[in-house]
Amino acid sequence: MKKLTTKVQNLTPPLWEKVFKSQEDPVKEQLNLMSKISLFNNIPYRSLKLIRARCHIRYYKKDEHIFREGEPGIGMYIIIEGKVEIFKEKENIKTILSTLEKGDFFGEIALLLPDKPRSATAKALEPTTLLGFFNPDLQILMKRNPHISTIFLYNIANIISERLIKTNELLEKGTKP
Amino acid sequence: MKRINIAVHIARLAFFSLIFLLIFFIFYGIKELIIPITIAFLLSLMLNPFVFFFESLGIPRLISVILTLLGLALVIYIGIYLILPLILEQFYKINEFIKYVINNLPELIEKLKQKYDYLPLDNPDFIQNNFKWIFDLIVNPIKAIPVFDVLPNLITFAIITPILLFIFMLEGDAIYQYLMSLVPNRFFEMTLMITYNIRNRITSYLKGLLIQIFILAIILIPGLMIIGLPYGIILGAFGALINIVPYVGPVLGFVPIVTVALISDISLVPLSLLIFGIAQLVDNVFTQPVILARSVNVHPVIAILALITFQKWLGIIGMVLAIPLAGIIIMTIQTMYKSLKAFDII
Repeated sequence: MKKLTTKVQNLTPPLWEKVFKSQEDPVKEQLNLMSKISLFNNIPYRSLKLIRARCHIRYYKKDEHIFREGEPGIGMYIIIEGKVEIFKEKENIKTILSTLEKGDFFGEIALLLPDKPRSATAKALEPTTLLGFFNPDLQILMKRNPHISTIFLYNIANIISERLIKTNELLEKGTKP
Repeated sequence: MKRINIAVHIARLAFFSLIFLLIFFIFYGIKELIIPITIAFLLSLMLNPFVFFFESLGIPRLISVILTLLGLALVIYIGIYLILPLILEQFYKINEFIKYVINNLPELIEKLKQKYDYLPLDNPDFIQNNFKWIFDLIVNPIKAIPVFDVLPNLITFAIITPILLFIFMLEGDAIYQYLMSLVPNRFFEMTLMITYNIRNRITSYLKGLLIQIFILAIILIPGLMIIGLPYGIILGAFGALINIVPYVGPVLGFVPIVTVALISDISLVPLSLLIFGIAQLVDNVFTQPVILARSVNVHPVIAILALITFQKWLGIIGMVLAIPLAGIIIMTIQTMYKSLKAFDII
């Protein structure tokens, strides 16, 4: 009898748990995820809320394009749920550059250089939820909260510098006889 | 598969058509509300930099909005209690003066003829009978304003506009984000870019216009008052305001100044010319190339058409809003065209 009760309890969670679950705030979850991303290092939780308030939540179906190579880009995306494939296509030959998952971000160059054409295509591999942060929002953040935007831009500069160092190392390896 | 796609497209088209129809009928039904909505929207764009400034000091948005609105209220208060009585007094006097001129035109012309015998004013009756339409054109619209019909509207505007302004300033971002969430993924980035560019250009355009009017007003009003031209405040303010109409505006601002100078004291004509010339010089050499250089150029023909259309649609307030609204429409079309081209949609 005790075993059966435990089994039933496991199958149906108590009512309070259900109520608690229904009150789970998706924004809070997104903020928790953002706080773990290197882009938002050293940004206090309260300020993170201000950035989140400027972000746009977008939902994509499986195989739906997020952006296409050559189109003008204006911002970056953070993956909240799902998988995204970044690829280039030339003469019908597809080269996959990376497959990104929850917590990853892409398109940050377009955030700093708006109107420049996207260098690759991004496509959702499964139903995906993204948090978009765009240049117009960054411009407004810079006017309204210069302190937070300075930390954010410093973080982006760090990430891009690290990538540059890695690219240089790869180039050096490639050119060595 | 194709059939399903067509069905989906038809369903989408029907859905968005219904939404547009609904918006259209709402706006058609509440035509009167277009004026407070437009004024509140334009004011919120112009006041946003002040809110940004307070926010950059670490002050929360709600308090920043309240502080900005208090500042605006103070400016309006000063305007109403210090400047408005002066303007109303002059407006009343100028109205009486116009009536007097119309009623006593033959005698006035006769007097002028005796004073300046070189003026070709042989037949005063001919002028009054044949050019009466000119006076009717100017005076009739002023006479035709039904004060008791306009008053309730003005009271409604005075209540609704600040409420809408407060909502736009406080919740503008949330409203914008909600509207953006309705945009399909394919057009999302493009729409975001277009709206941002339009918002930026509109803000700088309105700021430019305000600065242009302000600079002209601070030259014309004190200048005309110092030389002792009657109704200097109202004529200066009118000259500064009407100047935003390209090409025709300066002429429309200049004619009443010279007319009043001619009738009251002919020695004021060269001085009025000098003041008006300085104002135009500053406007053409500094304000327009430096401040308005990056904003839109409204073609004079479009400006006149806009003035007539908005006057017919929204009355006198429509005339005030005509040029900024025409500029906004042109900018929207230009920006949309550029972005749609960049995204290979057209």
